[in-house]
Amino acid sequence: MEKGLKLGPGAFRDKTALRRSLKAFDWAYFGPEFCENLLEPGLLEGLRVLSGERKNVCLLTPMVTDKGLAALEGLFSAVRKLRFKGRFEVSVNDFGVLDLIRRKRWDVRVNFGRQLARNFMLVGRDSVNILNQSGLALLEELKVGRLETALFSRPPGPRLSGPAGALRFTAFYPYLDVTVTRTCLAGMPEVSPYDSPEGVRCARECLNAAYRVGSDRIKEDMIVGGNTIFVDSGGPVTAAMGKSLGVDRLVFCPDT
Amino acid sequence: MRLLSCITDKRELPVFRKLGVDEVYFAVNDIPNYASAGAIGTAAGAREIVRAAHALRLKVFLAANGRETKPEGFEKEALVRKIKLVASAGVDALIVSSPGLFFTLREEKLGVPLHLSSVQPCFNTGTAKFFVENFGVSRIILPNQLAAREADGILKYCKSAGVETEIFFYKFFGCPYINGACYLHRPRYYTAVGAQPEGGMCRMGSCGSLARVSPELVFRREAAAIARTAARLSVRLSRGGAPRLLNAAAFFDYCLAGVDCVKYGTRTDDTPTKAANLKRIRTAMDVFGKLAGRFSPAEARRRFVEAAEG
Repeated sequence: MEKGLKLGPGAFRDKTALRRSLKAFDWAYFGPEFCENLLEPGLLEGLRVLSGERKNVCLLTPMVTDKGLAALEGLFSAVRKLRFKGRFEVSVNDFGVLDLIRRKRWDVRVNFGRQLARNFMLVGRDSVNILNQSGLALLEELKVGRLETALFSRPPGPRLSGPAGALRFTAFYPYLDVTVTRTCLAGMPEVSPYDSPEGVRCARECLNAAYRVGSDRIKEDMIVGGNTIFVDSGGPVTAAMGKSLGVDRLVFCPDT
Repeated sequence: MRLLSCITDKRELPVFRKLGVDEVYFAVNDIPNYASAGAIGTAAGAREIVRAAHALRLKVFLAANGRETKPEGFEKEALVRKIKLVASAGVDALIVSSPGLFFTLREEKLGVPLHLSSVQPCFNTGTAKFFVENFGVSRIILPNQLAAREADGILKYCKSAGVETEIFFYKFFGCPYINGACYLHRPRYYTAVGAQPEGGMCRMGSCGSLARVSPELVFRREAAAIARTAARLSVRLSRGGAPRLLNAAAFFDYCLAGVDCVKYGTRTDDTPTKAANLKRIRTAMDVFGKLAGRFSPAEARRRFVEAAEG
């Protein structure tokens, strides 16, 4: 079982601390998984640092508008010039980003991220459902062999419903994303009916903290990290459970 | 610009036609569709609806946009048989969201136009190209979480590729989260306290007492900013949800940019509510028609918002 660490805000402030935190992991996961407003120039610098480490690297990318697509086009061009010591993969959450990678004839391994993967599988509290065989055939056509997800790890543990074939899964923990919005709950100011918005205004409030939310309508607490709402889904699935599902990589996401 | 409405009863067809509706869509119980609300009978009965709609010179589409149907409900052969039945009845297009179903329909070569559902959100030109070039999509229904100005590239691409575009009317579309990716709709991943209406958790917030919000992971020591954000989150999660990008001004801009269709899609509304809302949409479209071109875009937009919000 491979192990990954999703690097959060501020991971690159101290290179020694970064190395120490990555020591127990094979993979560094890095990049804005859910929000295009976090596609910033610092990303390339972070990837440059990671390219020098003896680690495999996966770049996480979000759903994007044309603004984000243009930012990714620039980022991808620069990343292609980097030489990574380990393996390098890109995780996409938008068909437009996959289209960009293919149009640019970038021969990089592409995974479907937690948002896009839900078109092909659905996670329950105790099961993982492969939605339909046609979806799997399309994944093969698109040369995508890995889906990312979060799983509930508490007993009785997930079962796989439907064949997954050669498909491999990456399981993120300890939070499962329940919903995501472009108009960030934490940050975006209200919009007057007279203002036709240019897009999502953002003051990077999510870089300060993630929040625990208790409600009288939901038994469990929820966690709000930027534009995404999570629930606590427990620790990593066990190796045996992972093997039965096709999970061969676990990614620890301490900062959501 | 055309007006498209959902129907949940065949008797709505003549009523809506009189209100200026140009196109309608419906769902059936045995073909997966998003939200599974207001379906009319089964695929076998689709011919009757299609015939009735065409007799009124209405185009008619089928919502086949279930995105997360489990394998037991998605037996490929059975589903294809039902879709072929609807296609042979003369339906003018299928509204689809599942990539697996797009793949299947491409293989089957049914010859029925396909519309990309907003449940498979298209936020950029690349996504538009992906679905148009891979699956021959003839219309893209834009998600409500996309500002008109952000959609500029998609609208231009669609015009050049001969692909139609469609938006929801800004007043009658609820979920503030990304539609299709919102699992607050059903308590699959959390335990609801008491019964919740469909979409109750995400459309309006919890509507109970204010949510308790506290910082869980602090990345920067910005106590004042964190407290402000926590207070904002508490209100938004409990009342009203996230802000909206598709407002009156953005709707005006979409119309000005030449979007082809405006949709009313609240299948849970009863017929009188649907009729009243369709009247409001038709009025808004008429107001747009009178203002656009007569005033500068900024002035026309201001007048439109004044009329629409008034």
